[in-house]
Amino acid sequence: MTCARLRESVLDLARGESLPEGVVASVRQHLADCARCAAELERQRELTAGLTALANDARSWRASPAIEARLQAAFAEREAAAAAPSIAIRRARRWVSIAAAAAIVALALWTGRSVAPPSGGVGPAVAAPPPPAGKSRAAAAASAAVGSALPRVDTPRSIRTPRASPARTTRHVAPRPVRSFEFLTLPGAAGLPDLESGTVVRMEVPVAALPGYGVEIAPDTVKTTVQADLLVGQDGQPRAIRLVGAEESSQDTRSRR
Amino acid sequence: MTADLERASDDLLIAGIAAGQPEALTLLFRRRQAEVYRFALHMSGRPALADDVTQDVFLIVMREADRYQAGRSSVTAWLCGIARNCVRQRLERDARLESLPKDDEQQVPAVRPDPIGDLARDERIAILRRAVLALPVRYREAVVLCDLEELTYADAADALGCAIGTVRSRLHRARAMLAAKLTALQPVEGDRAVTSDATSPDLSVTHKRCMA
Repeated sequence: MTCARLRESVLDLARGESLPEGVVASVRQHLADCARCAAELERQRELTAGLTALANDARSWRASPAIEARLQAAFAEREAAAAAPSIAIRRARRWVSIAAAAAIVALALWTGRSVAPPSGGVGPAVAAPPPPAGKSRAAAAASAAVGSALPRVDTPRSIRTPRASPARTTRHVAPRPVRSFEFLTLPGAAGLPDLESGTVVRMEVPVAALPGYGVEIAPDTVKTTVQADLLVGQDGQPRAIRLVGAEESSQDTRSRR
Repeated sequence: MTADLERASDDLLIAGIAAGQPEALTLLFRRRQAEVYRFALHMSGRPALADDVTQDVFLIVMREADRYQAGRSSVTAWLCGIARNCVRQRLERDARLESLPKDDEQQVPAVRPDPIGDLARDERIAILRRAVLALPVRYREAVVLCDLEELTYADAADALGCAIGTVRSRLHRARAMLAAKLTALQPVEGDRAVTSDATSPDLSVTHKRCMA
């Protein structure tokens, strides 16, 4: 039992490892009474001496001198490639940045949505590229929800906010339009670098989350979901938001009451 | 190459590599290539493979320098950990392509000319080297790192990605196997009678012949 317990200490002793004084004392006491462990210590010391000789013999080993030059060439090539990324890489990086920014904003908006959840859907959807407004069911529904007071939204992709249907407008008890606007600077975007170029990403946004972005909303449309365009700058940071429409019609909203 | 950079610690050189300084890579290579090369050659017994591994290790360092965590372990342990993976990959690949060379085909470099007085010593070292090469890889790694490259248990554990206790137990097992290999490589019939070790008589004598 003692032999097994001290086995690794005997090895450490043979290898010249520093051991606590108490351990060394107990090992030496055991060795005085155990010829087998004493022989093992001697054997391990001889092995250590042989391995030391082998290690010393290998001290002068060196890799081929040609490797250093090859590494230097590889390093220079790598740095040159890093300094001038290809157009494809730059485009890929830009889209990754845009996607990341959209995801961040979507998460923030989803949090707002969870406070006052709309009737349908589990979270905001990011649509890129946006569909033509004239063929978008969501945009048409938004038109009915926000009413005729919603001004036309000028977008670089010819997306137009659908005009309200007169028939549906009459069903509003007290039309309180969501006020639309041109691009509104997002909180926190003021400190970002100047916008040099940007991309518009269309998203579905719960109206309840809009006050956080400085958008006035009508009480009867609090639970609607509207479409909004997010302007993402050249650095992937969102700069501004503008309202496009609402997902739910005012009729749908009223019918839930 | 500035004098400041030449005096910089390994950690700073790795930071320099991450920052794109070619001099930092050159200096780190000059400082540490011998350790990487020795590890690879002890593990494989093949100088060409050791050269390839050394180059691979520093190419990886070039690529991964920004992920190095200073202070977590010694730079030697980090390099040996990379070298260990490279050696294993090459040995496994070579094992699939062809059988490993026999002991007498392995090309361990002859460091010195062979003056007559050194012949016996060279022979003893060659026997021990072959015994190390014959160990299973996991045990060979422990012996090479702890006994030949003299890493601490902690650094060896970091290089091998295991616990310190595992390193110690592997080293203990490796040295027991090494003793058995030495016995097999150089049986000494006539010396059995002179040993006093009743458990493995010829082992003790073999060690005395090979290790002295």
